[in-house]
Amino acid sequence: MFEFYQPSSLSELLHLLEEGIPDTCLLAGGTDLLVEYRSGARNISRLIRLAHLSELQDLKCEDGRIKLGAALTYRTVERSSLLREKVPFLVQAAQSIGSPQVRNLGTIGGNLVTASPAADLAPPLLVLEAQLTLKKKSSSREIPLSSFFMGPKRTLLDPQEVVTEISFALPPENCYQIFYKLGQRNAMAISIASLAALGQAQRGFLTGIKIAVGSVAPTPLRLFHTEGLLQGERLTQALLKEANRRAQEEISPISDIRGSVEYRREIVGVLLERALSEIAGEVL
Amino acid sequence: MPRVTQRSIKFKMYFQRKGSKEALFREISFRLNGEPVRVRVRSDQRLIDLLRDTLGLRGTKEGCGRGDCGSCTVILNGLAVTSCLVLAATVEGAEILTVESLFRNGRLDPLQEAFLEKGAVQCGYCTPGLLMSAKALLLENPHPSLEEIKIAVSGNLCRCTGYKKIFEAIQLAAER
Ligand SMILES: Cc1cc2nc3c(=O)[nH]c(=O)nc-3n(C[C@H](O)[C@H](O)[C@H](O)COP(=O)(O)OP(=O)(O)OC[C@H]3O[C@@H](n4cnc5c(N)ncnc54)[C@H](O)[C@@H]3O)c2cc1C
Ligand code: FES
Ligand code: FES
Repeated sequence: MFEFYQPSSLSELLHLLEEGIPDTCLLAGGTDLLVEYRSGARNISRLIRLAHLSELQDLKCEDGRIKLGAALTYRTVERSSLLREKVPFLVQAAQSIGSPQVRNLGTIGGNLVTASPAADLAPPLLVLEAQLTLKKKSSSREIPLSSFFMGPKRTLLDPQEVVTEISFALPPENCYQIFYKLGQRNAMAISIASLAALGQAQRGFLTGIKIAVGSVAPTPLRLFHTEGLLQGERLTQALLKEANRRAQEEISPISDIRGSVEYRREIVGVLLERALSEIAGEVL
Repeated sequence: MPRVTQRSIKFKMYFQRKGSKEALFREISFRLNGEPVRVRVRSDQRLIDLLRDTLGLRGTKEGCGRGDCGSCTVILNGLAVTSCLVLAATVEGAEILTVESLFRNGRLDPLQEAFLEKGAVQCGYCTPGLLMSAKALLLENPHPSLEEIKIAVSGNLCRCTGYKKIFEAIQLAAER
């Protein structure tokens, strides 16, 4: 049993957090937290709900940036015409999560704060170079998503902080947006490996290439070194091979019930090749 | 039973701490199958426990208790949700429909008729959840495509019937 609070505003929530009671938890959709609590993996002494707060439901485009409230559900993301038009690969990632029931409850903030290596919204948000707004009672800070994840289930978030907003600049109009997720089946599957990419080819030369992967390292991961190799180059068979070799150095998959290390390494190569060929149009 | 002991010790601790008692229990009001309900819930009580144990509506079934099987599906403010992942205390002011809402004035819902007609039920344990996922779909989209039907019930597992008859039953109900 725990104390349950349903604050009527964000400032009331921040006040409750500031009291610093040990084992205070925030409740968004509960799709992760309640499963953990019931399995005994999580102690909760005070539970503060945030899913209902209107301050956390923004969905807008302002000065070329998209701003998403942390409590938006996957369902809202899936159905937003703004997001469908501007970032279809993020919508695709949201659609790939769990079941309709889970998508009606689960939130973007929850997906990121859970810090699962398999969090499906993370790869697209990493290549969009998303910024998170973290608030506590007396201060507020913005940090890039790429430095938010510290390890499986570990983030930079302070116990007295809440994620209020996720924002990113609109990707260039003619940029390819790619999201691939390999699971054991089509519905209700946690990814074995996933990959998101942005980029385009101008007269055959790759530009603006950004790549991130999920489920193949302790956290969702941006492949900065692999990107560096590809930028400004023509996509040849030799370059593809080299890019795969570079990507293999960046990832550090583990074996689990969903797949082995070897299988995951193989799959990252396949997804990478598929994404780059799609962006380049052809491999020379 | 170590977990139970641990919880009851914690329980005492909270009562010793001043002013926290209101936060351990809470009185909530909501609409259940069209009727107003007012009830006291424990902070850690799930919606499925409230429905089955406190309110005696046993149509909703618990399978996995962790969001995977869909047998506990109910409609919360128009949306299908797994009631094992919802805390009872959060449904204040909500509109909830359970499988019991489908049987009205002595008549089965067209979905229930179609499930019977198509033989989409064997042991029946998954059926209440499937019916509520399908109901949520039809409330929002009365003429779904086969693909939309498949997505709507993708979070509901059935171990006996096979999904083909279930899809056909939902299609039939939508046609009527
Ligand atoms: C059946 C099932 C299938 C699933 N399938 C997938 C899948 O395919 N892909 C996938 O990525 N995930 C999947 N998940 C995992 C889960 O749904 C996600 O991690 C989910 O996004 C968690 O979001 P939530 O809103 O439910 O978070 P909650 O469970 O409410 O919270 C999770 C954690 O984040 C914290 N938190 C939440 N919001 C904030 C905030 N704004 N600020 C600070 N802290 C916060 C909470 O305190 C808690 O520690 C699945 C889960 C289930 C039960
Ligand atoms: S009992 Fe709720 S999803 Fe299985
Ligand atoms: S009829 Fe038995 S599980 Fe579906």
